[in-house]
Amino acid sequence: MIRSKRKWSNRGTVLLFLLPALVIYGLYNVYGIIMTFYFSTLDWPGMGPYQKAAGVGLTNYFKLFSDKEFWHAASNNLLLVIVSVVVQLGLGMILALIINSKIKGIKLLRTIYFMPMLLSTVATGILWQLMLHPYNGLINNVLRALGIHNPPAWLGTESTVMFALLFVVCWQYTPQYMILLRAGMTGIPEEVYEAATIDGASKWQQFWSMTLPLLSGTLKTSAVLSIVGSLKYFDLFWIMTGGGPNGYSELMATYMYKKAFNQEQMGYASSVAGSMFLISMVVVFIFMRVTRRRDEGKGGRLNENC
Amino acid sequence: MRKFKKMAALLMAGMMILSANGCSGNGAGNDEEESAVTKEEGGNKLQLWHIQTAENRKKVIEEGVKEFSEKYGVEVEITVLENDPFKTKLRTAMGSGDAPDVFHSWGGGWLKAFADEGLVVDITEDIEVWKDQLNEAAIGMNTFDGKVYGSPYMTALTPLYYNKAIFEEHGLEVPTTWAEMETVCETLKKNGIIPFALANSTKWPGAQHFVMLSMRIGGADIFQKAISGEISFEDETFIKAGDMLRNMVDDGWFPEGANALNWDTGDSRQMFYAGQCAMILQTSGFISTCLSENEEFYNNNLALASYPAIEGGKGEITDMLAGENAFSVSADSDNVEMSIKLVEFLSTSKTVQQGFADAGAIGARTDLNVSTKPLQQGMDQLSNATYLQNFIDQTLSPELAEKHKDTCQALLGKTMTSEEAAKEMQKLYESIE
Repeated sequence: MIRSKRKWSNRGTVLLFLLPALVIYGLYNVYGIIMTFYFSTLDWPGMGPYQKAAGVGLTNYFKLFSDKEFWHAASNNLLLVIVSVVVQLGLGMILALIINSKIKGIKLLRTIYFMPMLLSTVATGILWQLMLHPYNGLINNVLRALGIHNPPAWLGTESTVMFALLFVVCWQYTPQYMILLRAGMTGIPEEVYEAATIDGASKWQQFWSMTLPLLSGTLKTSAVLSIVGSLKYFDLFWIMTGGGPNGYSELMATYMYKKAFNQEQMGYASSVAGSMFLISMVVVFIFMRVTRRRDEGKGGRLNENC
Repeated sequence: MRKFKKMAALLMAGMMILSANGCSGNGAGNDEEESAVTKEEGGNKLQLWHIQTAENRKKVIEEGVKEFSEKYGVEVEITVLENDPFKTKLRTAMGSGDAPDVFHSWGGGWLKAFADEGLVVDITEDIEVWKDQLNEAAIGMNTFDGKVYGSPYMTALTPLYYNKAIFEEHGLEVPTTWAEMETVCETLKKNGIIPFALANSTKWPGAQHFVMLSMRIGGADIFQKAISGEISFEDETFIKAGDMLRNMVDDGWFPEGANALNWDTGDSRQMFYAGQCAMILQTSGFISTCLSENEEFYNNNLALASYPAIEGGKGEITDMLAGENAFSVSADSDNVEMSIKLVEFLSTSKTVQQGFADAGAIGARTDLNVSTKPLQQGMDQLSNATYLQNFIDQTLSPELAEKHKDTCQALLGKTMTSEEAAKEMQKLYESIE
């Protein structure tokens, strides 16, 4: 009797604490998402009341399915996902190991590695745009000084633009994963490594068979963040190239933006947004399924005997 | 307890997944909140949005507005934005019912799109009072179906600017024919100077070259004919213009990677000022921007010419690509009467108009004193023009204008042939007109 009373007052308290966040979340996220799906069924330019716009059901989605430019953008997103996960997590891991070690000057290194994260995305975009300026930018001036006569116009040429953009994105976000992974590492008790060393395990074996598996939770979280972030990414690509040259570096998000605000097709743009949502959900679901380990339950955590 | 924890965790997880996606919906909610706040302040305060970001012109408007506020006892809040951000912000505001009282426009198809949605106040009757003081052609660009939707406050044209110091140094004459232009560019290139400065990430600067070439080849009214359907967008004029543009790229007349350079942040102006490029095709707004950014260059180097005539073409060297800047009143305004008064003030007040002239911009009034040479050259070109074609990306409907800019950018990036570009334009034109 007393036990169930406590259960209820516990639930009540929890719900009360959740309420403000739920309200704001419901209003600005859930409502917004629902409205976006509704808008995607309209033929609406984005100006004037949407109530007057003609409803066209799933026409926008059919149009999207055969839209070459959209799929080109989606393929850019895919490239971004792969590069982000491999480079940002990989390099982040290496940097995390470095700053977790006890070599000299570690504090200085920590600060330097962390700096890219401190700049706002817009500042980063403009900074790199200036550095990559084909004639007056730092990068090309250095290349010319090294004897390379015709350094490419990084952001203006199709063959180099994705490389340049991916470089800057990784430059900005790697420190974030370095921090996340290092936080995960500090959670691993020292004794584990000491025991391993006594047993004769090499540093490499320790990393591969101990650090990595123990970091699996953090790695998975980081990967999901990176994947979803890459699927909806907008900022740097928009600032540095606007999806150019001529749509070559388009992302789904920049394509959506152009359709909504430059070409007055808010209904169609909403279907792009809806598709991004669905794609993200599917990708994350598949990822979680695939990376679930044998000894984890449906909840994704190692089964403990509770 | 465990079941409840599971429920809460699932709820959290569900929310997290949702929040990690489709954040595009956020805008709707936020805008509603914002507009609630603004509407309350509405009453006696007018919102004015414009794009005159250059310090000197910005000041002219600020001082004019101060005079207006004192005279009429109405406060005015000014928002200044750069060209492309302004277009985006205004469109969003108009769409969400949160528009400013008075806003800048370039007339043409862009303004018409808003007018067709009933978002702009018809000032045909009001403007009768002051229209005689203004440039008639400029008012015409804001008139649709006989109704006037905006009052011009600045007029613009598209001269070909050149660095007279560089021309003198290499003994070059200003080219008036295409053959002369080719000689000039050859000499410039031999001396390591890029003929034209161009920053085309926002697509319209490069498109202006295409437009000038088309006007010179096919005659000044070539675009009007295409818009009215008299000729097709696949007409040989446009094909030839596209080919010439691609040849200009091949011959190295533009900076490499121009499609990635940004006009708004000064990427091409920087190269022009530094003498890395000798010419630039731009609107007359550049006269005043140059005065504001680099007075020394303005006094010693800046000179105006006109895009050369093309041999065998139907266009004249005096055919102008022109336009105007106007102020319009939003139908959403709480104070339409005062807003119209503000529009009248900015178009006609001597303070504002002469202020623009002193800042190097061409006003809308037809009776101004001009003190500097480059500005005088600009005004002379305008008054001697044999034809005034409104800026193409303003004349075309928004969707077609975007396609026009996209195809021109593709031509400059050599990712489309002129036939492909023309075909896309015609296809889109047919599907929407």
